[in-house]
Amino acid sequence: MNALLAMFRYELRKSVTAGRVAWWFVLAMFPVLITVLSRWVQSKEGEIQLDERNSFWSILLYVAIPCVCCAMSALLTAGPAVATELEQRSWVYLATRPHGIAWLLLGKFLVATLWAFTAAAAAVSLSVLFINTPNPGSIWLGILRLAALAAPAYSATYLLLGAVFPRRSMVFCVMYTVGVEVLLGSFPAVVNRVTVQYRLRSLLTQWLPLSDEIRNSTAMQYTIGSSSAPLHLLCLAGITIGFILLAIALTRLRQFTTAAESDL
Amino acid sequence: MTSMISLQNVTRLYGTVLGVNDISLELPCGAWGLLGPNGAGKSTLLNLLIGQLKPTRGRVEVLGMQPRNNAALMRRMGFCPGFEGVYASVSGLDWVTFLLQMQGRSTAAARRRAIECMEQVGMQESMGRPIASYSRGMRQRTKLAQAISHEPELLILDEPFSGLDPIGRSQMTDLLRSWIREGRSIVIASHVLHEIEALTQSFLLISGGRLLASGTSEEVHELLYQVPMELHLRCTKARRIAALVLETGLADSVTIQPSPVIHSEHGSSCDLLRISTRSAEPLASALMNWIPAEQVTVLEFRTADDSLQSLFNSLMKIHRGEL
Repeated sequence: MNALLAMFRYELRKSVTAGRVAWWFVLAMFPVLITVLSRWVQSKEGEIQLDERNSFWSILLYVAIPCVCCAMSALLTAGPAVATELEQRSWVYLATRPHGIAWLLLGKFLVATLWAFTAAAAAVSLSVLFINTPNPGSIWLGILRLAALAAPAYSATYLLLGAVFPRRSMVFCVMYTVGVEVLLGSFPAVVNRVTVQYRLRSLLTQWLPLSDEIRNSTAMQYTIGSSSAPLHLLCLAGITIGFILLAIALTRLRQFTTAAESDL
Repeated sequence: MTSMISLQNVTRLYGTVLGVNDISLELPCGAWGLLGPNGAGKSTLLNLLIGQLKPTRGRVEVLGMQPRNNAALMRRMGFCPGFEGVYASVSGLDWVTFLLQMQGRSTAAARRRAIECMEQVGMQESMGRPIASYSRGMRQRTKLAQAISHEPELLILDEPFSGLDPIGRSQMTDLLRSWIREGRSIVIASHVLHEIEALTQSFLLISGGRLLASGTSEEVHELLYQVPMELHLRCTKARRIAALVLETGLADSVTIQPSPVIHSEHGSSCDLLRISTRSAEPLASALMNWIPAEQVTVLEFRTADDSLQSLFNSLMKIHRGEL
């Protein structure tokens, strides 16, 4: 456990760079900007009816925060986890430590989760200040809970992709996001259940104050699950833990030599 | 007693390219030099020893254990790669402390030990500075500190002298000598004979992925004397020396390259004598007698090529049955 804590602290310290902090601000401010723009449009075009406001802001913040802010932040941090160490040729120092690669991946996962969740928490906390709904507290809590699930799930997903494709990991992560999470996740078929999106969207309908009209709409019926929240939580935990273990197992199987350029 | 390193018919292929070719050996504990030209398979062999590579065929054991994904072995082995790969933004002390924590030590214990190791490698003045500000030699010493920090039984070093200036080389040699004096085991890979010679008398010679020879320093020099070699002698009275060499039959061929430069003291030219021989040692002894006897002035006396490379080339030819 001391090794994991050391790895987490070390990776966190390494990750605090001007570029990374700038990205954190961009991702945290993106939902706030969208919220402010929406309010501005509403002020020009006319306010949304009171009973639809909860649904509107819930869906908008859901898309902007767990789906974009968390996923993007996790992609930027967890995606290149293996590639960075190989490119810097620092891999061998960790690989020649007891369980060094497992601690490395776990440490990078924790750091990616922390960056993603803090950006999401800042985003939702600032965004709710601008929404015109009678109960912003329930939206804040609901989105925060979804972000707390999205951050580790996406971090684990991108960590696995980074372990499978250390060469051009970012390209594969983007392809996965668009192809699987966005397209397949919205596809009205059983196949969408393998995505993080499906579970988060199902929890959205249970945890956030959506109107019955939206909750019972045909589009939602096909793209959300009717299972209970604990089952969705269990599935997300399974995805997170399973993907981390798979990433560790894969890196243990693969042979990265000290001649790092041949590995990438 | 268990060998320090045991290789049984170890072959490692990279696709269709041979990295290591059917090597079998048993090394007892002690200091060993792994010698070979660039591309000989030294790094592949080291990667097999530290468990980063799996042999395509055969079996590797280090300290009685298979090294691949072996946490218990990683506690007993230290590795210093030939390249840098250090984190530039952190200090040397923080880096060594972190790697010690990865060995399971508590923060305080890791810090104490890291300070000791940085002092041991002569980095006490600079250990708090970011690694980015270190010279090549300081980085090498910091890399050595991380390798010895957890007090391993076996230290594996890949080209530890690479890029070091003469002072850095001398300091590194002293450090490694003190490590060996403590009775610990070490394997040092290098392509420069005299660097390893300063540390150990036991060598493994590898080339083309094959173990060509093993033995002591004397045995390697003996081999060096036995392989065909070209000697270059720039001296006065070159024709007289050439005649003496040919009379003794110690040379395969002798050529004289006349020099237009006249030696200022002797008023004669200093021609270049090229002597091809398979008997370097007796020829050198004979030359040592002829030079004073004939009152020859020598400006230059050297081998034409890297003698170690010649040895490897010759051993490869012997291995293929060409010599």
